[in-house]
Amino acid sequence: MSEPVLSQIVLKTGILMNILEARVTATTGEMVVDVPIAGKQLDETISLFEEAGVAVNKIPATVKIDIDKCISCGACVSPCPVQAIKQHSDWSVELDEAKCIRCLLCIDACPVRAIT
Amino acid sequence: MSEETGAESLRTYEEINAKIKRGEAVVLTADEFVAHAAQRGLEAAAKEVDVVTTGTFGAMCSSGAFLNFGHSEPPIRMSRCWLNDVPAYKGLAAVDAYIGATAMSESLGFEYGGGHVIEDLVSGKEITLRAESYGTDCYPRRSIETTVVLEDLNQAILINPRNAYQHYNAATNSTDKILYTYMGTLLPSFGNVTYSGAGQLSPLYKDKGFETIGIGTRIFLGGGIGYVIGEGTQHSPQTQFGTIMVRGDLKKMTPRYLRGATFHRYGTTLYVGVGIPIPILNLRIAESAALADEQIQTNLLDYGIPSRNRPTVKKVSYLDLKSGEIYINDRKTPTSPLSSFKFAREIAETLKHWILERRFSLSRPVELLPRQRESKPLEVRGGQGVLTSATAPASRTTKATDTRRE
Repeated sequence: MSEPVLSQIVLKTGILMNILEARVTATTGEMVVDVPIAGKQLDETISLFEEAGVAVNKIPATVKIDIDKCISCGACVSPCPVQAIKQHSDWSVELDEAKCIRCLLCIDACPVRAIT
Repeated sequence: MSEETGAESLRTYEEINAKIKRGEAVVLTADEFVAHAAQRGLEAAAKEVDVVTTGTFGAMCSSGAFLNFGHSEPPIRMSRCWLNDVPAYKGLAAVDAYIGATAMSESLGFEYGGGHVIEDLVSGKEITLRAESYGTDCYPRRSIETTVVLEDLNQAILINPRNAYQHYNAATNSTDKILYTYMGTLLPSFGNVTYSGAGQLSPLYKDKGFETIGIGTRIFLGGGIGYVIGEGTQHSPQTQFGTIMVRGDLKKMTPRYLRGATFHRYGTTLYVGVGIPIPILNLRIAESAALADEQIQTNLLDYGIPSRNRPTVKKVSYLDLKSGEIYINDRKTPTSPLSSFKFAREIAETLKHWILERRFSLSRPVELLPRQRESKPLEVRGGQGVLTSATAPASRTTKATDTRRE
């Protein structure tokens, strides 16, 4: 397969992939890509990348809050640019995964490192 | 009211403790008392309720513990020491050390500091102790490296020079860059507001006149029992920025209420759980204990200005802040706390249960906290030193004009 690999695979499969992060240097390239399919079709697409020499890791689509570590302080709530994190009436914290855009600001905002 | 400060006109400490012993004491958390006083009227509430419990769980940077390691064979007079690579203060005798919350690991930097050491110690984890000495005739050992756990130590005494601010500012950012501060992450162009302090649950705000809290006041500290040992540093009672210095036995505390923490690109700290019982000794204390979030005002400061005197964008109440959003420049801005109300409530409830279960009696302080303190700045005499942080971005600020009245 010729390069660029991602564009070639998009053309071949017709899947509308979304690049969320990209780090490219003279010798390496690393991207976080949202591939909006599942099941057998996803496995086949991953194989296409791997055949082109790309190592693929599945990562969670959103950040995750570790409820055992969380102290419900709220430090993550107002910095979230899309208000994906809410505090309930008892001040416990909850993430709305549908809203999360993986900007990762909350990860650093959490003082007890409860978000990954 | 012309009674003297701390007058025990409604009830005395002895009467309260006698009722506690008989299982007859009426104890409410500050949240409950605020509602009770609103419903029954202040005078009735003051007659009916003996004790109001308070709580706060926030980042308290001026915290740390005195530790005594005991003597090795042969013994060492440590002149420098590290706990899990975090430097502890060792300018004290042979094996006495002070581990401060904001000291940072020489290998892990911002991710691990004195606060984390304290949390790990209280959790019973093994801590690597490393120390050096120039050696003396009587303390010949020049270095040592070993591991310790909390119960190995002779003493592990939490002594926090400044805890439980009576209330604190709210913070926002007028610049065009994200700022990372001790008030958390501040988005550009007034993108968010953070705030600290437990509001109507705040121990020192509920004794606004400083009539009961003082040296010797028994408190909830870090999950165990502690004591107020005096005013905290920077205690400023006239502007409701009172603070306390506290002491407690680390061996009797729990990590749930002593959590090491990191504020990104700012530094490490310790979240400390503090709860103080307020005896309703007189009507003035009742009035203070009944203050609601709505009545507790603070200043929203622009942390975009790196000065000791930051401009006030507007005045807000804790009720405004707790609503989750306020208006700045006619635009809705999300707000969120940095101190945990969930844990503050839990602490007030726990203290209430300790009293009701007769496990905790109130102590009359030997001396009340000062109600007057001058807050002095640090004048720069001699050279100016380096004025700005090498990492501080150059940024533009926009002026905040508050045209909206709430």
